[in-house]
Amino acid sequence: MKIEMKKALSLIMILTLIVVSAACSNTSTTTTTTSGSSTTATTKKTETSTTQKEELPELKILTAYSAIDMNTYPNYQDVVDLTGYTVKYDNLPAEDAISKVNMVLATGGGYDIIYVPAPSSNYFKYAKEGAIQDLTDLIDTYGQNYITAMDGYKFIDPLRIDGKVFCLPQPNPGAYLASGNFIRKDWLDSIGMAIPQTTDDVLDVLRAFKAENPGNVDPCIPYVQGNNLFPEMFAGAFGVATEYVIEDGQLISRYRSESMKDYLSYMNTLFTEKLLDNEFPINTSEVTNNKIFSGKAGLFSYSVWGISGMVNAFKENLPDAEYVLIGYPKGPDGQQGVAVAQGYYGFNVVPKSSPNAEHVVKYANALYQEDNFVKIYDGHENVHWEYDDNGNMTPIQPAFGDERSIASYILGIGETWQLKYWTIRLQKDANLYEWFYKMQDYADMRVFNVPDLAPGFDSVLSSKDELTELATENITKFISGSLSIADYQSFLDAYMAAGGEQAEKDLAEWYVQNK
Amino acid sequence: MAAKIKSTWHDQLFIALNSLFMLFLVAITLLPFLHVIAKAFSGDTAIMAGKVLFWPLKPQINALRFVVSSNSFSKAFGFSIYLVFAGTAISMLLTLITSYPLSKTRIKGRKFLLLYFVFTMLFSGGLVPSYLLRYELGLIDTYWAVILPGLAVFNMLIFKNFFEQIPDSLEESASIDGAGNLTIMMRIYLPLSMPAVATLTLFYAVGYWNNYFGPMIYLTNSAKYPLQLYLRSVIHLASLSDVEKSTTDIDLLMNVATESVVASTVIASTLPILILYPFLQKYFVKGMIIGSVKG
Repeated sequence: MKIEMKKALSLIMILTLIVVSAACSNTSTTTTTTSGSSTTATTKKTETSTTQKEELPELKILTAYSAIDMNTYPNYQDVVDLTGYTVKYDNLPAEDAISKVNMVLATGGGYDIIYVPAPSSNYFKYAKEGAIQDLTDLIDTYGQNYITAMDGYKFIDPLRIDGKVFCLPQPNPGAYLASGNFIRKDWLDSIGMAIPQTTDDVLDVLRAFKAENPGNVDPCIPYVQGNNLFPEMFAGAFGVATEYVIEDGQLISRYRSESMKDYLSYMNTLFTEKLLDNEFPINTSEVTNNKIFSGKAGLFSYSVWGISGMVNAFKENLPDAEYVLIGYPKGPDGQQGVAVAQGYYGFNVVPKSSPNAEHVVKYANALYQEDNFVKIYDGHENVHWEYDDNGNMTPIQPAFGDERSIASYILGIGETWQLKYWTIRLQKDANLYEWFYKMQDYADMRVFNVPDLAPGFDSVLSSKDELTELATENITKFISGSLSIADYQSFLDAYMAAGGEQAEKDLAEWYVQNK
Repeated sequence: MAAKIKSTWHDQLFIALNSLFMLFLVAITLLPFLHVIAKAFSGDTAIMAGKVLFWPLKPQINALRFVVSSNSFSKAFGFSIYLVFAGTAISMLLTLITSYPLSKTRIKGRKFLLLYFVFTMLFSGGLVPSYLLRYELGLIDTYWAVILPGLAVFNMLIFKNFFEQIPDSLEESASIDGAGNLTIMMRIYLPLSMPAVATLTLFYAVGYWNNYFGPMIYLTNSAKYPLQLYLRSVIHLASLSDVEKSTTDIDLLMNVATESVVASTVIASTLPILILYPFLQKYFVKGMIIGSVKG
C-alpha cells in the first residue's frame, strides 16, 4: 500500500515536471521557429531592399478567418516577393470576430492592419471613437493601383466622415447572382402546365401542385423557403425586394410602398392555402434541404454555393426528378427583380498605435499592381492557370486548387476585377461553374438597396436593430394571418415612430443630392 | 438488511416500471449521439434528404478518414492534448499548494485570504481587462494565455474541504517524526486525498479539453487552434444562413464542410474525453460527495 502511494506520488510529481518543462520548452521552440522564419524573411527583405532605398518595416496583419496558416501557404512567398514587404498574418475567429476586434483595438495589438467585419456600423464606430487612422491623403497619394482595382471611389466615398476615409474597404460589389429559383419540371409536365411567368401563374401552378400532388408525396409542400420574409422569388415582383425603394424618383422605406400591402396579401394567400411551407419562419437550411430532397417541394430557391450538393442529392435520392431555373416572376404591375447584397464584406483599418500607415497603403498599392495581383490571387501563368482557346483563364489542376485556395491575402476587389479574375476560381467545381453561369442569365434583374452605399447616418445606425426586430415580428404575423392586413397602418406608424421616419428623411435627402 | 425484507408484488412492479422508465431516459440521452454517429457514417445525399436518423444510410467511412487524416485536425488534436496535460498539471499543482495552507486553521489571516479568493470567484475584471493584462505580459498567441490563470477557486475550495476532514493528529505525529510542512503535505495528505485528486483532475482536464472561448480570444494564429475551436469554426461555417453567406469570403464558402464531415469531426473530438470517464469514475463519485458535504 505504502509503495503504491509512493509510486503514485512520484508519478504525479514527475508528470508535472515533465509537462511543465515541456510547456516551457515548447514555447521556446515556437519562439525560435517564429524568429527563425522572420530571420529568413529578413534576409529576403534585405535582398529585395537592395533595389529599394528605404528599409521597409514588417507589417503585422490581423485578417479574416482562414482554416490554413497563411504564413506558410504557397501564396505567402509571392506576397512577400512581389510587394517587397515582409508580412505576418494572424486570423480572426470564424465566429464572433467583432468581439475579438474590439479587444485587439483596445490595445492596438501591435498590428498595422486589422480587418473589421461588416456591417459598416462597426467601421463608423471605430472611426468616430478615434481608434483608427485617417488614410484619405495616403490613398490619394500612394494608392493609384488600389483605386483602379476598387472601380474608383465608388466604394470609398460612402465611408467618408467629414470627407475623410479611415479604411481600405473590402467591398462586396454584388456583381453576380449567387442563387436561383428552381421548379420541379417533372411535376409541371405531369399536370400539363407551362413554366410560370407571373406571380398569378405561380399561384395557379402552386394550387395545382397542392390539388394534384404530382410527386405523390405526403405532405406535398408546393413552395418551400427558408426564414426569409422577403424571398427573392416574390419580393421583387412587388417592388419591395430591398429595404429602401425608389418610387416616383423618391427614396422611401419599402414599408411605405404602395405595393407592400399587395405583397403581404399575396404571401398571406400562399400561407393560408398551405402553398407556402407553413414552417418557413423556423426553417433552417438543413430543414429546407430535407424537404427539397425528400421530394416534397415543387418550388424552391437554392444558393449557388451548395449547388454541387443539390445536383448529387437529386441524382441519388430522386433520380427521376427534373428541375429547371425559372428566373423571377413578373408582378401585377409588371415589376420584376431580385435583391442582391451590395456593400462591404469588411474594412481594413490601421489602428492608432501603428506607425506604418503610409507603408500599409504602399503595400496595398503594390498588392494591386495588376501583374502582382494576378500572381497572388490566381497564380502564375502556365503553372496555376493558362489561357484556353477562347482566351479565357482556366485553372491548371491540381496546382491551382492546391496552391491558390485562399484569397484572404487580397484586401478585396471591385466589380471589374471580380468578374475578370475571380470567376476562374469557380472552375474548381464543374457543377458550380455550370450553374453559376445559368443563374447569371437573370443577372440584369439585380436590384440594389441604394442606401447600402450611403454614408453612415446616426439616425440609420442607431435605429437599425429596433426597426429590424419590429418589422420581422409584424411582417411574420401579416403573412401568417395572425395580424390582419387591415391593421397595417398601426404597424407602419409604430415603425416610423421608432426611428424609421428620421432614417428615411436623412437617406432621402442624401439620395436627392447624390443621384 | 433491506434485501432480506420480502418484497411484495407491487414493490416488484414498481421496480420494474421504474427501471423501464430509467432505461427510457437513458435512451433519450443517447439518441442525439446515435444521430450524430449515424450521420458521420452516412452518405451526404442521404443526410440532405433527411433520411438518416439513427442508422447510417449509404454507409461510408471516407468522411471520418478525411477528418482524422487532415492536417489541421491532427494538429488541433495535438494542441488540445498538450493543453489538457500542461493545463491540468499546472492547475493541480496550484490548487494543491493554495488549498493545503488554507485548510490549516493556525494560519493567520486565513479568513481574509479565503475571502480574497472567493471574491475573484464572484467578481471578475471582465474580458477586456483580462485581455489587456495578457497583452501587456506578452502572452497573446501563446498557450500560456489560456493556461496561466490556472487556479479555479471552486476546485480549490473542494480540495481545502477535503484536507480539513483529515485528522490533525496525523500531521502532529508526522511532525514529531521530524517531517516538515512540505513533506507532510506531499506524503501524508496528498496520498490520502486521491479521490479528490481524481475528481479535480477530471474537472480540469474536461475544462481544458472543452475550452474554446479562451483560445478564441487569446490565440490569433488559426494554425494554433485547439480542437474545440477548430470544431466550432468548421460547424459555424457549415451552418451559415443565406444572409451571412452574402457577407462571407467566397473562398471560405467554396470549402465548406459537408454534413458528414461535420458529424465526423464532432465524433472524433468527443471520443477521447469520453474515454477518460470510465477510468476516473469510481473516484469521481466518492470525491464529489466527500468534498461537498462537509462545509
